[in-house]
Amino acid sequence: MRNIPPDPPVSLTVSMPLERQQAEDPTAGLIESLRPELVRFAYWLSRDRALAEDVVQEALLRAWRAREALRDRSAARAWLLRIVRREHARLYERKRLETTNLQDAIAAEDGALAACGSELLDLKLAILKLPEEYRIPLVMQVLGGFSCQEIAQELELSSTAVLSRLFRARNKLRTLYGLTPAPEDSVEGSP
Amino acid sequence: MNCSEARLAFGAEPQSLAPALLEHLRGCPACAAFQREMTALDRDVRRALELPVPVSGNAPAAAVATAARATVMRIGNARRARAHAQSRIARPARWALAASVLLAVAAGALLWSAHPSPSLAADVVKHVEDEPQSWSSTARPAPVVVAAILARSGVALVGGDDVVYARSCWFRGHYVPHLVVRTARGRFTVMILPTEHVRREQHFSEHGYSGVLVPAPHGALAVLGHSELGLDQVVAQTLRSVRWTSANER
Repeated sequence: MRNIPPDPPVSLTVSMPLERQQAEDPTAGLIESLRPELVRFAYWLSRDRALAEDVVQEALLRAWRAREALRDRSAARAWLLRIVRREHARLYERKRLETTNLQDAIAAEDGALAACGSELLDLKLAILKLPEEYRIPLVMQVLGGFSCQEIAQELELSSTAVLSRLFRARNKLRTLYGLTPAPEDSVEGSP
Repeated sequence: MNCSEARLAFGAEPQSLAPALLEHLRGCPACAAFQREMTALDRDVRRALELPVPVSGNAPAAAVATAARATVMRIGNARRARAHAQSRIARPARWALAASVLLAVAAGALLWSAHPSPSLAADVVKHVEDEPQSWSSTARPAPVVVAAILARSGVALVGGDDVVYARSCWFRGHYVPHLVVRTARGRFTVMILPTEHVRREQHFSEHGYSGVLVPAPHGALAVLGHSELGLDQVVAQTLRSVRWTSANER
């Protein structure tokens, strides 16, 4: 489902169906096999499952078109996560996609998350409520496996700013666990 | 390294094994406790992020519908805003535009009656080629999600158990349902096209696909597969299952 009239179409250079492409090009199978993980990653970035699937759909098309750039198959996961992150940013930042009120979005996701199980539900909701500037580096680090340096490079931030944001993200989550948040006065970098 | 620096470092990277940090921990019980807490918290954060996310097929319909409605409403608002902006076109310009459109429609109708929708078939094929993942989708979309996608185009589906892929796609100026159904004869793409018109059933074969365009009570259907076999059954089943509703965003 596309939420905005599309960009100039991302046309594939091949015309055969994916099942045949997978048989002839293992990269297609590799890309498709990572889809669930990419959707999960996109969900925590966008906080909306439908948008997450849109983002991944567009990202996979871009990845497929640019698959020649993937020389090391072991790097496919990180490569795809980067494309998803950029596609998410493109949707939100460049296209100025209308976003719902945060509380509405959280309320909508509240029930949906609860339906997936009560395990760590409060923590999941707390992560959803984190401001984007804290949530995205945290998701990139914990779920994506990116280092602070890689996050800094990807988000075009200084390493200090990334350290600061990750620290603040976890510090906010500490309160959920009845832990005393660490003082943030001495934390340098952007808030 | 002082306590503030150590806590910033562990708060940012609880798994850090930097020698300077470890040395600080050995001499600072308070920071060691902080590091243990952060490590435990991080384990839970990782678990929380790795747990299933919504609309995985086990979410209750109401919750999924809420999320779907939120998205659809957001899209609807954006489209209404665009429509409002377009309505500001100056009145004389509208008349000129209307006259041009009438001429174009008349010319188009002549061509159309002579050769029904040749480009429609090509556009369907191109659209399907642009969504290659639709053929390999295995997870059945939640029925409420399929319903929301269809409702957006003024359509409902009775049954739909065979649907393995559903998207609302931008196609020739409208959002249309793009479904893939699994049958004993393989997978078939079904596109429901409420704003397209075909006068009679039209079979086509392009780029290795076999397809058919058929008139529907409100618009047309396009069914596409890798083989001619089974096309007619999918068309018949779809025509039996589709209900055209009045509320739509066409």
